[in-house]
Amino acid sequence: MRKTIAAGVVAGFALAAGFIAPAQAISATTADLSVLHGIPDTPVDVYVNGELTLDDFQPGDLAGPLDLPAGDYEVALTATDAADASAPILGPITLTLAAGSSYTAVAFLDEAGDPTAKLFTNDISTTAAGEGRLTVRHVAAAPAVDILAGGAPVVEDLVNPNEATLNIPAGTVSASVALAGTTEPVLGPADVAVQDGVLTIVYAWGSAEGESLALAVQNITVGHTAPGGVNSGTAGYAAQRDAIVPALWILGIAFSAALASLGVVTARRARAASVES
Amino acid sequence: MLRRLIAPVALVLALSACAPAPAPTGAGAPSSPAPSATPAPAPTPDYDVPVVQSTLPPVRAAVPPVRVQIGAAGIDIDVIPVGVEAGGFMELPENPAIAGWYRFGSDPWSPDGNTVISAHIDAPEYPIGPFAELRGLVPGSEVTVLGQDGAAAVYDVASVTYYPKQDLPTDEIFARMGTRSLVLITCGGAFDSSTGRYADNVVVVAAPRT
Repeated sequence: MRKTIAAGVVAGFALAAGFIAPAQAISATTADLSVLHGIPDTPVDVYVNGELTLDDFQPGDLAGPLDLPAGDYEVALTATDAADASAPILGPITLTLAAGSSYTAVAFLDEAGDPTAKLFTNDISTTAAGEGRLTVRHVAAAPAVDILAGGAPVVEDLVNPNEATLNIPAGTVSASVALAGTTEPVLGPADVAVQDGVLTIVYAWGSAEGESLALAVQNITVGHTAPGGVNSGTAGYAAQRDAIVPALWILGIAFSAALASLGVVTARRARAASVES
Repeated sequence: MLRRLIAPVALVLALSACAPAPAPTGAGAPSSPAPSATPAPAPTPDYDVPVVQSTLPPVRAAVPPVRVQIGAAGIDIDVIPVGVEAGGFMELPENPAIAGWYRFGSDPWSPDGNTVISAHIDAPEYPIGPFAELRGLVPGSEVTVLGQDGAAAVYDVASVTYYPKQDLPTDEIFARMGTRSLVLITCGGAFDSSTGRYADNVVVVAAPRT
């Protein structure tokens, strides 16, 4: 039983209804695809199924998300002056997108420095209350690395093209990347906001040899978990007071009634006395 | 969409077909406005895909509420940021004279989402808290929230609702999207001294004054 002391205010929460879905437009039949360009010094055009989709896509840029029907997509990267996808510099590769999923396709350099691409699946499950999710992806032409948070390793021996995911308390993390087994940053430290309800993906990309290592960041709102409840009273004093106040009223009424009847009796006695006197 | 899709393809085909031939002349090529030898224009994309730089995005810093004032209920209470306590419940300051703002959610100046502020109605060894007076609020009462930066957000009470605790609509209350209400919570209803818990949550929803 729930009582609302206000007429028109189902409004209070009616407004909120229907807005609980995650920010992504993913549905039972579609997937979200973002594209990150992590090949240094090489602007490209991106063709999807032979169709120009991203024109003059610059290194370090992040495109999307595109809400696409689940299925296979053929992606090719060409020089920016290409007239079509017939002479790709990378691809064509086939991306298979499952419904209800979130993906980031990344064009990057492998450890040896050759252009390649990979379709990463993003973990978009809701975060626990008070936690955010951090995914780190090694897509740089560089050897194995450790990911440091506040100077201490939290991910060790991450190699191209692998990833690691951490669910950690929301807050700001001073993140840096060091060669595996060392703590001297080759990237960072950089302040990364880990937000409740948000997946933050940090990419290490570029080339160690080419001195073009850089961090790229992608944020995806995945939905949060609300606290399970609010226990906002533990003593019962207010309940006691609430109970006492009406009780006093009753006592008071009884007392007044008693007084009144007493008064009548007294008066009668007085009268009687006066008669007697 | 389909029409736009076809256009560049047709253009490419037309250009390739014409390429080996010399520039058309005479009445047979009336549709060619500029016979100059400009190169084939690069195709343009048919989608408008949002593209951003992937450098560290600036994250909006929260503006923690520091005070809630409700003249109609005689409430003027300090607010501190709180999180989640054991069991997954919203954390609350032990002292009922201090309210907690759920810091993982929105603040009054966030672009979206409810601001949730709660205080104990009472706790052992403390006087009954100011939020006991929430129960007597009526719709239309003015509520002011002061932020750490000195800003003031003004709301009008829209509803006061008693929810049995197990029925508290936490997803709606802690919503991050589609609503910018102020939600004030305390306890109410019957007190069970064996569990040390009240049966209900008293939830005040106040709408931002525009």
